[in-house]
Parts: sequence; structure tokens; C-alpha cells
Amino acid sequence: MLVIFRWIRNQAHPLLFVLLLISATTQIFRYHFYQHSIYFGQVLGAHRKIDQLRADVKAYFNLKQVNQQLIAENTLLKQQLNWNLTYNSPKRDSAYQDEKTGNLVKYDYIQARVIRNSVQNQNNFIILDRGFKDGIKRHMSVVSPMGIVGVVVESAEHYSLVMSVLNSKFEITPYFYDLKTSQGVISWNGEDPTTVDLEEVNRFVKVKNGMKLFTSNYSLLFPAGIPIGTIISSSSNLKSNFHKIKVKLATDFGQLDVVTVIKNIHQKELDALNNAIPTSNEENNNDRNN
Amino acid sequence: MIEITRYILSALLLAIVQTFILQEVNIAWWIKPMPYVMLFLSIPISVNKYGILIGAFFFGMTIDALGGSMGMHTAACVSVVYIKYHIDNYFLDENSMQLQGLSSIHEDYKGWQWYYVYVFSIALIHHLIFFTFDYFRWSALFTILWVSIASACVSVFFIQIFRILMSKR
Repeated sequence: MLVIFRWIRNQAHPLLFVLLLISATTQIFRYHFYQHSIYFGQVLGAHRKIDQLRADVKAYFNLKQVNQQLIAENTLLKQQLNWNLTYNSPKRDSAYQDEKTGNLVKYDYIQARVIRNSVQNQNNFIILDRGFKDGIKRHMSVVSPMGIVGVVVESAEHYSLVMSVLNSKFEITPYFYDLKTSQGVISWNGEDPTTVDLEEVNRFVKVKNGMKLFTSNYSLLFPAGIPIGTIISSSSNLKSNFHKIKVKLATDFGQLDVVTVIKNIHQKELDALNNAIPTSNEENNNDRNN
Repeated sequence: MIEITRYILSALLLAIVQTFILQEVNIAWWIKPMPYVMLFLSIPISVNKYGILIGAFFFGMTIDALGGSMGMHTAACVSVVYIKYHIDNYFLDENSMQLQGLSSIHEDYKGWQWYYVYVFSIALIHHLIFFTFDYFRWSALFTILWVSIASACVSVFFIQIFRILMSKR
């Protein structure tokens, strides 16, 4: 016993270091990677004031970019309006008529500000200063004036949590404007926050650097035609059937400030149809019953 | 007592500069400077080794609480203080420093080349530990190395700026 005490007394400095390091690493593993989604409630309560202050400081540093973004956003909104008008036939009685303008529209746009953003983690999340009181619900898409940003995964009363494109769980199929085709899956590898990987594109597809990628009309979350990014490098070899493509994101996640949350007016119809798709197990059961 | 208050105040100032300015200004994705390491460099080497370890823990926690990074800065601060204690024991001679009238590391001790190598090494160790916890996977080994070296260089630059500002005052 005495030997143990003597040993502890001699090794007090390394032991204190190990104790403090364990305490710190416990915090990292407990909170860091998914802290926003798991402890969303606490984040809103405890960090709200600090977040606001941080957002204000950040807004001051980004005023010039914000002005440019707003101008670009106005242009984008005008384009979207035109696109909506031509897309919806006036004969379609299900089309939504905007009370103020009388235009037939398919999407509603909600402006929001980013109050917390990260780019350095493996799974990045964004917090917006709008919640379900402002009409924001799960699975709504979020875009910036530059391009896609992410998808709403949780909404509280006044704030909402967005899964960023810079999240290992985020995936989207792009539309190649030059090739008029939708192929492959875009995902982030967790390294450079300005580029993402595009995989599962058939190697016979003629991919070139500089090609623009947009959201496809197969996406249930994003409207078609929103910029994703530009191809900066592609390679293929005979061993694999697929290209290996790097895409530079249109959105600069380091400068994110004002974003638009897009609400599909027909989302309930889409969800109902999506739920009605039978899974393979159900089909098998039905076959057996018949 | 006045000395301790001075160190606590400068720790708070460095924590605020780190979380509200340096963390928010995006220089490049591979440059994330953390010049608050200068606090550990400016504290006298004769200070109690347990006290500074606990102090570093709370200093790291302050930055984590303000920046929302939960434990990352704490782990890096505690580790760098522990490693620095052993480096100081091996490389620094406290008696000769006292003869020169120095309490902490300074250009006058062994020349500016030696000083910069020392400061850069401490900053690099701190950044390496931080980014190892940040990326936390083997495949990002070279990214961790590159980001740490680049960020440590920028941190040393900021440390010099802060030292110049403080010395003029």
C-alpha cells in the first residue's frame, strides 16, 4: 500500500496531466462531432447569446460580401420566379396562386441568417435564426445566393438545424448541364471544405473540367437548376467503370451569412406518394398472398 | 498577486481575440492560427508545474466554451504545457536565465535563431495535437501535418505582432 502511495506521489505530475487530458478528450468524444444535433436544446439555451454576438462580429467582417450576395440573390429570385411561371400551367388547379402578386408558384422562399456554422468537422451543421414559427420544417432545402447549402434536419421554435453539404451523410445526384443528364452521387470526403467528390459516374460519360453541375429534377428536396459546383478534375482508369471526379462547390461555406430556405408547396403530396412506394419485402408478401 | 491578475487578464484577452476574431476571419481553409500559445511562453518557467497544468486546463475550457469546440483546445493546451515542461527541463538552464535577468524565454537567452525554433516547435506541437483531435483519422495524416505547419507559421507571426504591441505599451 505504502509503495502505491509513494508511486502516486512521485508520479503526481504525469498523473495530473493524464487526468486532465482524459477529461478534455471525454468532452471531445461526448460533444464534438454531433453536438449540435444531440444537444440541440442546450445549444439553443446556453450558446444563444454568445452565438448572436459571434454572428454580429462575423456580419461586420463580411458586410461587403453580404451586399454582393444580396444582389446575386435578387437576380436568382427573379430567375426562379420566371422559372416558376413557365413551369406551372395556369390550367393546373393544384398550382398555388400567390395572393399578393397573383403569380402561380410551386415554391415558397424563407430568408434566414446563419448564426452558427462550421467547416472543420467531419459532420458539419449550420444553425439558422428561423424556426417552425417562421414555417421551417424538416427536409426543406437550404440554398445560398451562390448555390446549395444543405437540408433542414431539425427545427425548434425560433431556430433550425441544417445538415450542411460538408457532412459525410449528405448525398445528392447532380445534373450535368452540358450533357443534359443526371448521374452519380456527390458527397464530401471531410478534407477540403471547398471541394466535394463525385462518384458513380459511368466512365463512358464524356466528363470535362469546367462543366457546371446543378440540382436535378429527380431530387425530392431541392428544386431543379440550383448550382452545385464546377468540375475541376476527373480521372478514370480501365480497372474501374467509374470516373473519379472532384467538384469545386459553388457555395463558399466560409462566407455563409444570408440563406434561403425553400418550401415546396406540394411537399405533402410528394411525401404521400413517396410513402406509397412499396418496399421489396412488402411486394414479396403481396405476391405470396395473391 | 498583480502578476497573476495580469496573466489572467491577458489569458482572457487572448481567448476573446481567438474566438471572436481569429476563428471568424477565414484566411484559408488550411490556416487556422492559434497565437494564444504565447501565454504559455510568457509565463515564467519557475512557476508551479501543477498550477500551470490546471491553469492551462481552465484556459482551454474558456476558449472551448466561447468557441463551442468542446474539449479540443483544452486537450491541446494541457498537452502542450506538459510537453513544454519537459522540453524546458532538458533545454533551458534556469540559473543562467536568472543571471541574464530573464524569467521566460527571450531572444537574448540563446539568440534569435534559437528563440524562433523554440517558439515554432511549441506552436507546432500545440497545433499538431489540436488538428489530430480535429481530423481524427489516419487518412488525414498529411492534411494534419500540412495544416499544423502552415497554421503554426502564421501563429508565430501573430505572436510576434502581439509581443511588439505589448512591449510598446
